[in-house]
Amino acid sequence: MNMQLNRRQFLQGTSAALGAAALPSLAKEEPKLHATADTVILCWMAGGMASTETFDPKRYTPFKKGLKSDQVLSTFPAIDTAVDHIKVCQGFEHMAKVMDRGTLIRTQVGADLGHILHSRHQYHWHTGYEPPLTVAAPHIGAWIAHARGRNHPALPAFIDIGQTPNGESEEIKAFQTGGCLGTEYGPFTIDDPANAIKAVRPPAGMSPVRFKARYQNYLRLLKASPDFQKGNSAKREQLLKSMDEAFTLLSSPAAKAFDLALEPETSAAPYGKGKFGRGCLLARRLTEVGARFIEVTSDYGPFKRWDTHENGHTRLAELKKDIDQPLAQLIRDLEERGLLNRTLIVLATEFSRDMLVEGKPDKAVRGQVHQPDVINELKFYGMHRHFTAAGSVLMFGGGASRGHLFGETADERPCKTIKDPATITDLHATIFRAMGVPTDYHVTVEQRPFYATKDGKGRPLRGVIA
Amino acid sequence: MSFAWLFLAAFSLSAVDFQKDIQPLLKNKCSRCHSGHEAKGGFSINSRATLLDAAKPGNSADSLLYQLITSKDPDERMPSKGEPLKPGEIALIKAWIDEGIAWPAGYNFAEWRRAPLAPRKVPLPAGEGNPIDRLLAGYFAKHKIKPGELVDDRTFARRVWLDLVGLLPPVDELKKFVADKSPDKRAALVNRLLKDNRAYADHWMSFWNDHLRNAYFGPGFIDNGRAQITTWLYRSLYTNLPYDQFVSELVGGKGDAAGFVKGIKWRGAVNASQRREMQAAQNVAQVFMGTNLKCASCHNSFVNYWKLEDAYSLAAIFADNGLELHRCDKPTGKPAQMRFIFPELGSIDAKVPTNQRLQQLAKLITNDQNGRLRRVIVNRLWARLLGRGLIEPLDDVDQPAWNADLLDWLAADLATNGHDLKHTLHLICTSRTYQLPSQEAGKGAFVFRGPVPKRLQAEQFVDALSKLSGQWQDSRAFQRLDGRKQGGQIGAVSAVLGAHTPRPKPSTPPKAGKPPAPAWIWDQKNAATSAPLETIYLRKTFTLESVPKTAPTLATCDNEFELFVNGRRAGGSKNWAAPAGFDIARLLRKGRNVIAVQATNIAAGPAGFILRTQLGEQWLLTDNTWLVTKQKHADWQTLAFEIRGWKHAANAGPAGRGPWNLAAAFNAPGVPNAAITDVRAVLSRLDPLQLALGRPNRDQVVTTRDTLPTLLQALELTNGTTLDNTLKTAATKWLQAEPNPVAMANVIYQTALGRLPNPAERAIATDLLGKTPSTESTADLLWIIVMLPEFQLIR
Repeated sequence: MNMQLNRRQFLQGTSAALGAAALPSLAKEEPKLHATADTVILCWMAGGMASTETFDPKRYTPFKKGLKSDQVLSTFPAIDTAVDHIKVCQGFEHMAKVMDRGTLIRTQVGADLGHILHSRHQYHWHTGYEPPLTVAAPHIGAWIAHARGRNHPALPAFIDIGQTPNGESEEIKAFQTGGCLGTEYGPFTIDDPANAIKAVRPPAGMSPVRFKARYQNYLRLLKASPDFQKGNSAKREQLLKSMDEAFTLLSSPAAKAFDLALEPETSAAPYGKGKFGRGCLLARRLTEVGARFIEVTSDYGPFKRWDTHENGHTRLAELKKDIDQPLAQLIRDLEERGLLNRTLIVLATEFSRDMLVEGKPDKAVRGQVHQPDVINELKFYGMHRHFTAAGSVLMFGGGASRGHLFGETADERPCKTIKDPATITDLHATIFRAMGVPTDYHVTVEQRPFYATKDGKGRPLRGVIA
Repeated sequence: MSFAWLFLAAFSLSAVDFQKDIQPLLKNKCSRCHSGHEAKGGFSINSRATLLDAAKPGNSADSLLYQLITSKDPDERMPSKGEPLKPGEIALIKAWIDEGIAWPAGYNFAEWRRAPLAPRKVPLPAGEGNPIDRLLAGYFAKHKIKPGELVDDRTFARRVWLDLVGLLPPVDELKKFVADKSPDKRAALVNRLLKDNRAYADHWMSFWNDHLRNAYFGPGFIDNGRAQITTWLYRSLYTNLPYDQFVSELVGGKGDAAGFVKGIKWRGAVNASQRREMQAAQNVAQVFMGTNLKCASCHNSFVNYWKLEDAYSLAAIFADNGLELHRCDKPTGKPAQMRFIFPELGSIDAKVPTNQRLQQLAKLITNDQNGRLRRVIVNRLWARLLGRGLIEPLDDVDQPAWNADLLDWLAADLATNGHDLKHTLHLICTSRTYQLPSQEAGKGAFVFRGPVPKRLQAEQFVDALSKLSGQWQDSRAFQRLDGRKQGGQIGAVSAVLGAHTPRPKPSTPPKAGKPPAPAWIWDQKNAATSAPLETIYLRKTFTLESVPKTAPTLATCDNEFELFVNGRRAGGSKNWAAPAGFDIARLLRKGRNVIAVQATNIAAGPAGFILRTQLGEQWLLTDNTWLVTKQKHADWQTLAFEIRGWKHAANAGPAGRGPWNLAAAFNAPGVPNAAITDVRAVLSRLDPLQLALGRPNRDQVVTTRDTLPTLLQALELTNGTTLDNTLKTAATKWLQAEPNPVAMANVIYQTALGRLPNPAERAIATDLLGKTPSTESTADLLWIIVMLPEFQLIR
């Protein structure tokens, strides 16, 4: 049998199919899609957020000595939310009240990369491609920057907030780049939101007066140089344009958005003092002046934060405190300012966690965390293994359906996807859909097309973008 | 199904004619979306093999192609644009499929151009002068281009320094060069630069790190799934390994060159098209053969003529246990045959072990008849020097060259000149063509009118900053491999330099090769047993009648030291157990010299400093003639410093004294890991500044860097910490050297731009520096200069 293509595959990539499917507006004949959002804020729960402890509560079993591991599905009880048929885990009291503003997707299905690795799964989630590749795949923020451009003439289109550079940085950074789109579309990185202003102000110790004078003298010396007087040069113009843009940003009123010290205490307080909360506040301020794509990461570090290899229950109780109120406040603030309708907020993570199952339910994976059959210590009470068969993703605003629940997971272990799987490719297609970027948007790399979603075949999740 | 076309079909029993009936039909109705680079829905009609993805010979009913052209559903029917096929046309396709899908051998809708493989002899046009100019004379005439005047000496010097060794020309050398009246001074400069083995290796290391994706740190190292080729690469560049041998060693994958073929073994499950053997195939094809096998490693290519079988046939040569073809990551059950993608060069014996097969492959690739190998590399060198290749893209040499005669001649010339890349570089740089004023490529079809201006690459920019600040990369960093065999690049390069630096001959006939042994010194005699936590300052002045070519120095300190020669830092170490080796010759001068050492005992306990320097026929050793003080004086490390109140250092014991026991190190001749100062950016770890300026991480092969200026770059350059700190250091240095604003502006312009400021520039510059320049105003001027397009572009 030579035939490698099947009807679905073939049609997926053609205009006929797109015209035929439930998305008439995606037809190739219409190069510009109707966008439902102008800004994306991706809140990244780095390290693997366990869904049964957060947004997909299952049977709750409180801690006691002698508890059998195979009995435990959730270590937090479920609580009601503003939407009747959606429950979330205890600890998300603020988020519960805003669940009517968005869609909860419970069936993110990760790739089977054989061996659970944060760096590769994070790379996959951020680029839509499973590494390794022969092409440096761009971050989804870079694609959106490429397709939609800046949302404010002075602000970089893609801003990445909160990742601490560390020893593993080169592997982590591999997806935090513009990849084959070039540095033009790569992230403007802000390690620490509390110091964000540093990134857009003159170098330490340089007064605004001196900074301005330096640039003016630059222009004077430039114009006096024989090179300049020789005539036009496109290469020179490109350089000067970039310099001008940098100077404009650094002296632009928009730069004030980076300065969290300017936020009134009353409106800053709900975001708390945590790094992630401050990141959310910064994201809000940047959205107000006109950002295009912002990632706020909870900051990945091996075995840190959501990468819970022990004490899962205790640590999640703390982690939820870091995100619950800031995230809910971000949604409320944007709503209050009339920006939520055009801002898509996405909360996601590379994979979920389970107490017993590592990877896919039917695959044996090496390098599992030790979990005793009987739990006698609190440190074993929690989800410590990496689970890729179902995970939770939230989408608020920017055209996301309100009060909507997508996908269904099993109520018994393994709590895998049983209805409407959401692949990373289709999650990306959903975000691209909201931003009005066709899923077969592509650039030519080494003479072949390289698509925004894998092979140009992503399909937006049904009903998620209204 | 309509009766009418069933009827017609019944009548087309005689064989369908592909050329007459099918080719025009497919061309008109399908090719827009399904041929050439287009493959909508993953389907391409380029070749019979790709068409078979949607058609089954002899069975039209079971062929997706046929199902779709006959579909009743208007949303599904093909072609999706324009009129549906007419019944007669459908009948032809059906008959053609049922008859077995006849296809003329080699026919391809994409009409891929395939360049000849063999070398081509190009007769050199009659006349005098550089062969490149002679070969291009016709081209210029044809395009009505009158090659103008050559660039002036300064422009030439800056261009050739940056192109060949990646550095700005030093002010004094530039002056001498401009003043030089000899007619062949440009060729002499090219010669002199190419002879500077270290500067050449330092510069071209970046180029080859990109091409061979040699990373010092990165993914894959964690599981021993990757290996550096740093030592091999630096040695090969330093010794100018002939290119055929260079390729042969890389492909052969032996010893410290093994990392290239080894590729990156990623943890976990990996797409079949990214298995290590396939990476090797892709990279060999791209880097050495100038063709893209990446598409074909997954399925038959839509961008060139390679098929899945071709990619696997090359990959299989690298596999220990054979390979099974996978199409789009799915196993096909077909074993891969071992064959080079250009089988006309010879065959591979599948029965011999992998390492022998790789030797065979290396022989095939470097075979005389492989003209492509030479075309690819001369095209890359041409592009690096002239800003644009003779063929673009550089990785697809099936594309036509804008001057095939020149390309083929250069390729053949490289082969007949011992595959000496420096020979080709020399030839290019001494041509009038290279010396033409630069011309930016305009819109429309490319016509060569002169070199296309280039932007400084990340490493060139950082090295140029080092020239301005006098501060190079930290030579103490990256001395050893870490636990994952990452890093160690500076140590590796030191070792190569040490092994290739000619050792000065000892004065008197060597007494069993043993140099005289130095003593440990400190400010008190019993320092070997106990000394307080303290920093001491040591000095030794001496006179040289001539400056030796090398001055290998071996020194160490319990616990750490910084060593200055005539005021400039020359070396240091924080590890007493491994004496540091470095060469101080370049800091020495005729007449009086001073070595000054800051030595620190970081905790109470034994303390000592020991040094041995060979100065031609003399030895300089630590002993009690050195002077010592505990007080830090301003400029204490300079020759001009007037010494007052220092005392003689105390001899704390011979080299072999405990607790150090370093007699072996200090009695052995020579210096281990000799000579590394002025460490260049190529050996640094990727930092935000270099990242912004386009230095790639090396997960993929990169043969062309993106050098477009961007906002993110400009931000990093405008307020980034790395640059800001460098400029502050540089400003301090300039203030010390030349506090007069006019003189300072002159020297900064000369150093950075290779020229003096014009009167207008001088006025602005001195005005901004102020009557008594400060660190701030000096740093501002430096920033302005390095931001100028004139600085950042190579014209």
